[in-house]
Amino acid sequence: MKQDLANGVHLTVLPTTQFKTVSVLVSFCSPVQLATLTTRSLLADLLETSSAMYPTQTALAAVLSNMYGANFNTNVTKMGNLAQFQFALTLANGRYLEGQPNLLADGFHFLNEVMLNPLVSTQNGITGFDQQTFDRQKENLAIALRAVSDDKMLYARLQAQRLHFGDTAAAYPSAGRLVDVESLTAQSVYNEYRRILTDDEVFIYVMGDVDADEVATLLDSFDLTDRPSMSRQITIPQETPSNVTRKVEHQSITQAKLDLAYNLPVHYGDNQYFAAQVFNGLFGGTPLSLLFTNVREKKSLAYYANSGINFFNQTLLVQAGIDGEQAVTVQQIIGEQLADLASGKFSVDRMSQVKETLINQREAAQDAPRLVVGSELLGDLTASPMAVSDWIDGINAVTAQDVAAIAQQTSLATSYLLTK
Amino acid sequence: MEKHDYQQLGETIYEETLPNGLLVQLLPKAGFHKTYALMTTDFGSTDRTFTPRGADEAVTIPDGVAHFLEHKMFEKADHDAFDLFGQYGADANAYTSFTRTSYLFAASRHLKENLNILLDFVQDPYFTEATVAKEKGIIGQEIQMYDDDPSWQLFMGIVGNLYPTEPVHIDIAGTVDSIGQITAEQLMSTYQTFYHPSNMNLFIVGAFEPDSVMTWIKENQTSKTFEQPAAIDRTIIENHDQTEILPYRSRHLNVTMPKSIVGLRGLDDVPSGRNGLKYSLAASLLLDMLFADTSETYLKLYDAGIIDDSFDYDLSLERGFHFLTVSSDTDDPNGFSEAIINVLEHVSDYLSGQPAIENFELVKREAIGHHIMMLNSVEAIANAYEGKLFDNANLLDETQLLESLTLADVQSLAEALIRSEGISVFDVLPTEDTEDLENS
Repeated sequence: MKQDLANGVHLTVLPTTQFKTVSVLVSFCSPVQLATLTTRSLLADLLETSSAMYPTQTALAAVLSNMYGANFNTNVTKMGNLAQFQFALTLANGRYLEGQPNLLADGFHFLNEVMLNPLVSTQNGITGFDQQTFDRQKENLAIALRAVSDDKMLYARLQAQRLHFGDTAAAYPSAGRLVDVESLTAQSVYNEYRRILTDDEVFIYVMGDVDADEVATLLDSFDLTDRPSMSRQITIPQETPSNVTRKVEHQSITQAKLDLAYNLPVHYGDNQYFAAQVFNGLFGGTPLSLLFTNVREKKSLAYYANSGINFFNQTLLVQAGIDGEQAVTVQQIIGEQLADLASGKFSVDRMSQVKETLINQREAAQDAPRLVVGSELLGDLTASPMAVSDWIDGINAVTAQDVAAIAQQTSLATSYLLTK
Repeated sequence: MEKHDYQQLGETIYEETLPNGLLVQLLPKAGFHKTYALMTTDFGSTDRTFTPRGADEAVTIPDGVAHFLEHKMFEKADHDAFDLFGQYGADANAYTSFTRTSYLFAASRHLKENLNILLDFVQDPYFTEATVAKEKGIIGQEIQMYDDDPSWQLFMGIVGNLYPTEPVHIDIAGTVDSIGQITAEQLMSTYQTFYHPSNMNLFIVGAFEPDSVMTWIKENQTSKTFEQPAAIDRTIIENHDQTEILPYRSRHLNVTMPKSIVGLRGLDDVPSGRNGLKYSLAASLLLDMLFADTSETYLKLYDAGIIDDSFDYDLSLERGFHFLTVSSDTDDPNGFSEAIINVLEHVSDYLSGQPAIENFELVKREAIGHHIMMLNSVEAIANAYEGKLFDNANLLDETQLLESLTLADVQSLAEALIRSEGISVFDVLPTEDTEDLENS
């Protein structure tokens, strides 16, 4: 059931008895900006850990524990040109608990508090987040962004992304940039909060054994007012690269990381979308893939080697954990796998197995509440909702020629190696 | 096939032990699309000394055999089991812990075919010197990857402090040296000892009709012959020698911020069967009361900047050992470990009076809610199953047992478990050249 609570405020209720929980997702959407990436990341941390009613992390955690360990988190995420600021709440369904408490009303009351009544103070007519809480979260964000370099797999991916996308929002993680943290103030982050609350288009999803009218009534008190709908031009198009950008970085590590970014000019939901999914499954997206079987298993050249497509950035990323001394060989063999796909040198049996794998994954995703809600949101944002059965038909219709055509359009743009 | 209804939780489980000894448990989930099947042997990395089936004397195998065996089970003379699952699009995997080895698949289609593949590849060992040699390269890479993982090094560091002479202190995958000694013959003898159906269980959760599934499993099992079940003689020393515990060690690694972990080795006996599960749940609630994000300790340390969101605590309770850990990234490793040890040494202060009663009710309520939420996940339900360790209790039994726990249970548990002489600390500290990393 879908309804608009105001202009640009959309509610979808998904009644089901499959799950023993009620999932709530509120997503505020606007065009992504490099300038506010870090602001929004810090804002998410602030709203996740404090509110006027629950001023300390402990007070906030206690109210969640009291609601039978409800899960609450805020999240910032990017999808091509689109930035999302999300509140997610998961509640146990009271009917499975002793005394059968109604947790839905409590849950929405909580959400109202943390979304609409943040922990702020006003001095000389200027409002900002509570300074002490702000300072603590600001320091924690700086620490978290610095700690990225401890996770070598993540670090290498982010370095490759930075090299690939230049100085744009797509080059940086949604968590933001360390260099921006220092200049954030309790007031500037509060201003961004007000802007999101009043200007961003809002998508709300409630899934579980719930009554749609009850949900709509509970949302009345949120008083989310009219706002414009944002552009649905989500994709950041990538041209065929004129040359390959390469970088080698040295650190004292045991296992080297090789990350390769390719441009892949296919749009989400267009007629090549399904072929690109099957192509990625064959190249490095499944355990049946060439990267997994040839690079990792057959030649023992890598501990992990995989690929993934971000359709909204039109980029395919290969990540591999390798012996640094074999880097040239590994990169050459990865190139050969892609060339084989482009020239149609691959087993059709293998392709049908990849299709089966993708179909299994898509069907299984219907058992994960977060993925079901995510899929609804994706359908709304792209204005091209895809029923599971249509998706399966689309995958089944892909031919070997279709796959080869995708491989031919996949061109290496960036190569990053982290080694000792 | 026995049927157990859990009315309050809205779930039903079906159970049967087959004539060959294999215990089968089936939990159908209405409305689900996927099925998750987990086949587990009661054998892990700590089982290194035992009497092989048919032999008279105990042997000690190289460290890492359980994990090596797990890798090699997939490879057969003319095919790889991964490829068989792949034909049906199933997602297959396996993992080895200190005391268990599990093989699994998840699939939304072709359940019968996938089940047969699972049962057949786990019950059809094939090892040659050539394939064993090749695997050494792959596992060597895996071990190296863990060498670079500061969190794993922190965990293994504290385990090494707590159990310096026992098998649990050795990495589950072994070392490059120890796996170098593994032979095909050793793998086969170990397999025959521990992979008999009577030492295994099969737990299936998801989208299926239980009668058909049980029929398929029986058809598969009656088509094979197995030796008679035999008791396994393994050398389990539930060692309570507290004097061997190393109080402190540290290690320098490529990290930006220090990591500190406080460990407490249980020097008491864990009761057997369902009482062991009760012990385990009470210990988890104790940790929640002391260290959850609702605790005063958490708030104090967080506000003092001693801990951040990486703060974590855990109970490890398996066959033959149990210990607690509390860890965090911290600029002040000494301040962190002192604060945690201080809480542990004054544990009774946190368990008495009205605040303790309220705190207990709060953490218990949260734990119950989390158990309900876990029932959404076919993986979580199957993975929570501990087999013989807790007398075949499942997640549903666990949820019910949790309801019955009282503060008095936690108090008596704390008295037995929390002892100063069981405490140790391990720190991972930055190497000197990491200053450069911060700015890169």
